[in-house]
Amino acid sequence: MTRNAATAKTVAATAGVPWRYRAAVASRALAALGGGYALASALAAAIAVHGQPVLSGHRAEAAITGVMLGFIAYAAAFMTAFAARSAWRAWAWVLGPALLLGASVLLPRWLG
Amino acid sequence: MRTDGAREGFRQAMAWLHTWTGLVLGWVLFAIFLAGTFAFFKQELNLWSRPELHALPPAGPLTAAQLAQAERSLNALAPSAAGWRFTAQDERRPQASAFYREPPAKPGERARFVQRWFDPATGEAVATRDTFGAGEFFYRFHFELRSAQQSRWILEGRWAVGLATLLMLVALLTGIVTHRRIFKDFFVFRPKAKAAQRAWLDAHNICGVLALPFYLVITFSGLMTMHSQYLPAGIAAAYGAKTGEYFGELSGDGVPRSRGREAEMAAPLPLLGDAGWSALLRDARRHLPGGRIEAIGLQREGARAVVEIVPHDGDRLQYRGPRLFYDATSLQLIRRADNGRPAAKTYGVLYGLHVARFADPPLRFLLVGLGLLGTAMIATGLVLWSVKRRADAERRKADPGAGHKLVEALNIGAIAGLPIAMAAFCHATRWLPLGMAERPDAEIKIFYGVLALGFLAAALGARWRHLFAAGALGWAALPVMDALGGWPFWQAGPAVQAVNAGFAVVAMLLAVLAWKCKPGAPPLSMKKAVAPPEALAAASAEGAP
Repeated sequence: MTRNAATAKTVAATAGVPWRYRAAVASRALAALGGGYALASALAAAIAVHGQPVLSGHRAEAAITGVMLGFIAYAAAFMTAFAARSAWRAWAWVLGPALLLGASVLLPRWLG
Repeated sequence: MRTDGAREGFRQAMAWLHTWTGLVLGWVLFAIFLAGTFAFFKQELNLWSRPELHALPPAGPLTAAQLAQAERSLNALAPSAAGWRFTAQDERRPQASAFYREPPAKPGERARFVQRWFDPATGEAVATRDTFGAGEFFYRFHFELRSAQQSRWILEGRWAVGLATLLMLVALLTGIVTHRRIFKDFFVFRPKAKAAQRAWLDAHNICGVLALPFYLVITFSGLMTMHSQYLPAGIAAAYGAKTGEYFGELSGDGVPRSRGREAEMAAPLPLLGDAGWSALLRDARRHLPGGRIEAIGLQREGARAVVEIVPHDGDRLQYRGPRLFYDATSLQLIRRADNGRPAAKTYGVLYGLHVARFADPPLRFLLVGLGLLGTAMIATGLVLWSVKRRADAERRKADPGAGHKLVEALNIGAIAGLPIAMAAFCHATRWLPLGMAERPDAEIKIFYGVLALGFLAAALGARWRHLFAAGALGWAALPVMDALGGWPFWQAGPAVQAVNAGFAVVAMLLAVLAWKCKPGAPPLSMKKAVAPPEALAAASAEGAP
């Protein structure tokens, strides 16, 4: 096989991947990284703010617990984003809880 | 993630994710793991980089006379220092050391940290070369990809390492999901399997499964050590911008330090003298029964000067240990700082496990073994990616493509090239001219320069065996150079000799790898499979991500 033919084949193989697929992978990756970070941050903040009564009433306890669970949620969100049936669902699964948790922290501040 | 859009199971999706999270920052992860493994011997490697300290005899316990002498030396060296921290000798360090902040030369500049070394027997300062220290550099490279002594890129480096660590955590979890037969994998290795891919997969599985709890803990705790940078939202929600208060409460010390300008304008630090230090040490030892003292700090808290006494980090799993604070003038105990609350303790133990200050030599060697196993897991995973691609391409009779060539060159440059660069750094700490300006920066430039040369060589067609052989030579030359270079090789204590022996072992490991990659024997030969056919069939069904 000549070099040119080989290159042509590679190009054909790469072109065989539909752009919709590439867009879906990019979208899921963004949901995993960006959406996952939003979820982790929202969970960490929600625990830091609402968790104090449960966690010995001490704010450092609540804050550090939030961080630890936030990292675990990040990894879980990352996996969910690629396990979901479609890229749209991936966003819904990750951003839905992030928005709810974020609102539980921010709404009382904005309204109060 | 199938390109045809057909539904696939959870396990297949996770196998896909495992492949790509592992690849994307796999080379950075390899570097983090390898440098982090070396950082388990940070103090010994730092000592090795400073031959001026090698002739010091094994150290005895910390004494008040030694402290008083060090205090006099510090007062002479830096009369205007706003505070200092003295670290005592122990079984890993025959020397004592002290850090102090030198006030800025011009207003508006940042204060400079200075480190000095002391002979524990006399308490006198020992002049040493200006070096970053091999242990300190591998440690800093491992979590912030440190690029200069005063680097502008430290935060960016930490973010890059944090992203790689997150991907590592995801790769570990998806790797577990992908495996149905974790227990069986302990006992399956078919180096002579028909397909190279099979053997590499077995190798990857063994490395992965053997020390899985270690990887999970080291990865998660690695994220936790930098948590205030990576995930500040919770801390901001509870503390606002007062991060200092958060760290104070987390370590059980509610009193904020005054690190501002007013502290630097304040009166000079008091001298405690022999009597003062011996009274303090006696009282501290009464409060810390059986405990060794690791460090002593003298700093200002508002108007008064305060002595902080820190017990040895190696005596407790939770990092940091309890600290005692004394008034430097009245010598009265002001407070004891510690945090025993459950979440803070969980965090402290995770932190302590990560930095492993508690590990005595056998455990430390075990941890190094686990670290090397993790490094091998990442390396075999990276190689597996490219072996699998090539096998796929051969089946389709197609060219594997430019992406494949890129990954292969990056694999060789990163995996076989990094050890050469690390050896080059160790050489640089010894050989660079002593009077050179910015000497630590030059050491780091040599490290990155050699690393770049490795990638360049791989891009130009150098193979695994060439770079492994170069690495073996580089590491083997280190103990030889130490013996012949006119340094106190024969007076050096066991820590330095152990480092030299360790260098020789690294050289041998690299030589074995170079030998295994020699051209006559294809990396994993194409002999007939020795495993029973049903095992192979089961394995290939399982191992096809």
